[in-house]
Amino acid sequence: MSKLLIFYNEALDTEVELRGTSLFIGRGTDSDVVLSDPSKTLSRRHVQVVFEQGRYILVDQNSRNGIWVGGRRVPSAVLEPGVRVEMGAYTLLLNATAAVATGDETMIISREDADQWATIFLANQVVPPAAVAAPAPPPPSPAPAPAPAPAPHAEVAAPKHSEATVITTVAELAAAAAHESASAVKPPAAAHAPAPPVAAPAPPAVVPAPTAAQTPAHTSPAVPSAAAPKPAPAAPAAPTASTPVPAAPAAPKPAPTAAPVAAAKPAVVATAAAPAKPVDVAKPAAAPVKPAAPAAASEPAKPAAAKDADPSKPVAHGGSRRTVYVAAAAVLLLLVGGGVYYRFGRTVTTDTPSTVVAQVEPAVAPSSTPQPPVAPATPPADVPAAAPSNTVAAGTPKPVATPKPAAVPAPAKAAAPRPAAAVVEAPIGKTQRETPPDLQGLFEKARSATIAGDYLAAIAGFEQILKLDANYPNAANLLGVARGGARNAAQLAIDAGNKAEMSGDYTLARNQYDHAAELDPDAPAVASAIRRLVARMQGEGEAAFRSARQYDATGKTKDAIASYETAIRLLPATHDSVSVARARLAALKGGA
Amino acid sequence: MNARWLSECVVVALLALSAALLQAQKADPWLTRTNPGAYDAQRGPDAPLKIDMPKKDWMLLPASRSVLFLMASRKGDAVVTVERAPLSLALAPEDVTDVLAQIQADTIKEREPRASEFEARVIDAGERRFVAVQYRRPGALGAERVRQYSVPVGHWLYHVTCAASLAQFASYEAIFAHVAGSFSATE
Repeated sequence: MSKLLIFYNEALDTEVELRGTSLFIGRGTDSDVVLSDPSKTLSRRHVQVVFEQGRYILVDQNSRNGIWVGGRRVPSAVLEPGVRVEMGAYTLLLNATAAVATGDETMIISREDADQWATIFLANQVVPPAAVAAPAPPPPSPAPAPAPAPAPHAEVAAPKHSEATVITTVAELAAAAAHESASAVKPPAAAHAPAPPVAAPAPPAVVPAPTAAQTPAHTSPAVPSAAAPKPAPAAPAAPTASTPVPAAPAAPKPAPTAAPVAAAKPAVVATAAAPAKPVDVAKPAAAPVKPAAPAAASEPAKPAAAKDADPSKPVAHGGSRRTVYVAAAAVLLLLVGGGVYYRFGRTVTTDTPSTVVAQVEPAVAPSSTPQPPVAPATPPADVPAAAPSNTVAAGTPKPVATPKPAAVPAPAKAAAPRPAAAVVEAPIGKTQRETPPDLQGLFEKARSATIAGDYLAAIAGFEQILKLDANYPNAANLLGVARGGARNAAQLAIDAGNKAEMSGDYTLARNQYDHAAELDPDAPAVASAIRRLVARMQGEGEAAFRSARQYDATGKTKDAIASYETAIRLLPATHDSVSVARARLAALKGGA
Repeated sequence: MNARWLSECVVVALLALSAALLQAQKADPWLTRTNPGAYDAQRGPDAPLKIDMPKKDWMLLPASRSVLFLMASRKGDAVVTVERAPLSLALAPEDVTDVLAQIQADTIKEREPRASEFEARVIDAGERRFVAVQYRRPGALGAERVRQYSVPVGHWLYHVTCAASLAQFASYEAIFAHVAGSFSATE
């Protein structure tokens, strides 16, 4: 069961169990979840939590202060692990592990762990424990484990959900991590975890979990062994470092040759070699061929992450804490995946991660280490879950097999615009499409324009929004408000124009009438006022022209110039007298 | 037959009367030609102008350089002169408005500072448009009333100035109106 953690001023205030039904949260007693809100930052009914298609969505109830994700006010937001939704002085977080475990069931982590995890997120320091783990000393031996036969393994590990999204994958990872914990509800899902983790003595308690190659294999649904003609150019065994990678996901079937690991595993942090290289995705079938490379695809460590490492401290965590760490790692991957999606997924087919790989591949720094070839024409995608991992690999400065201690993927801050990924109006599509318009941005602009009295801009904005999404919340209502405001403003402009016209300031009057016509083109008073003003200006312009001619004829140059200028100002530019007036004006001024 | 002829005559008479009344309504007392038989048309000696002069009690006087035409009553208590001034540009009748009347009044005031009781107006006379400025000024034999008619003709502004003693002005007013109305000039 998912839990919604509600923090007040960064302290856990309320936990709400989400049971797949809608509920209201607010300050008012009629809300389902009543928050005390001493600072009165919430509305009585501030948000509604809606359960839709397996996701919980926060919907702003036209609250005064709204809900905010990533510094943007949004009308609604998907509750996802790692996504902070701000509303007033409160922060909402979805219980990560529970959420990723498909959103409805199995509360795996304890309250304390959840608190700790949430605190980590609130502090925006998503650093898995591996980041502080001591650099692993070289293992006594590569200890190639009895590897499962590649083909069967790939077949077994191939998930059925070829349309899996990043989130689903991470959910699987988290679930698998949870299964590894002592309190696992289900049987150990790491059944296909190869032997290396078990065989490894794991001096500093960093036990490489499944091989780098295995994860792609697990997440690659349609890569039979026959489809992998080349052996994986995977890095030589370099188990000294390992990156946190999800443990074996809950595969449909356990690998027949896999040894049960859960029982044999020491109580250590379940870190695993990341499927660091895109090639792991591109050629997943090759990976199982190299079982002797446990943790071979050691993720290059970021120096910053390594800085925090404390070699003197062996890591020995309890089961629940380990779960938290694994969950944090999973969420970290989620964030990275979110970043990938944010950068690429919105313009690239989300179920073709090979495209993503091809795009990010140039970012890999050249290295003397043999680079696994990554063909641009990599077979698509049947490995959607691998996309985040690929991104991690591509974003890391060093390629596979660079022996680095404390291999921890880079903190996902830079690559994880979580809020954007969580905003409702940017859903993940499965087919090629254009970048969706920023309806929320348009809405905010239009609403701001309404408030500012710029009704034309507001009307244009709301009309554009409704053209794109006829059911966009409040757009139709606010369009009506903007139109009403425009009508009122038009009447005010007409009144101001009348005053200006009476005072002889025809320019101002015309401006006011024109503005009124823009605001309300259908107002009959506008047209008549403009006609009247035009006639008046033309009559007075012609009179000025005649006066100018009389002054001009009788040698009253000063008066003639003034009258000509008046005529030019009042008459339309196309009027015959204007050209004459201009000529005479030039002659008089030249003569003067 | 006789009845029909009679009725037709009545209709014609009524139409003529209506036209006369309309004409009388349109006619401005400052510019009305009356009793044409009592005037002789005169031509300016040095300018292409034409103007009527009463057959009786009026005499033509020799013009000077600036005065194109000059006639006076035999009693010496009334005088009519025609002068002209160049215009920078030709004014059409539609160009003549109160502005020109005011300009003329201002010009007179500048020229005759002791003049007073000004009255200026624009008079439509068919296809022409006059500006009339009437004022009072001191004269050699006492106060005079002057009515100056101005009409643009091409690049010239002609002035027909009618003056009489204050006491006799009313008796000459009809003559002044006819003479001014009869004025014409070609550029």
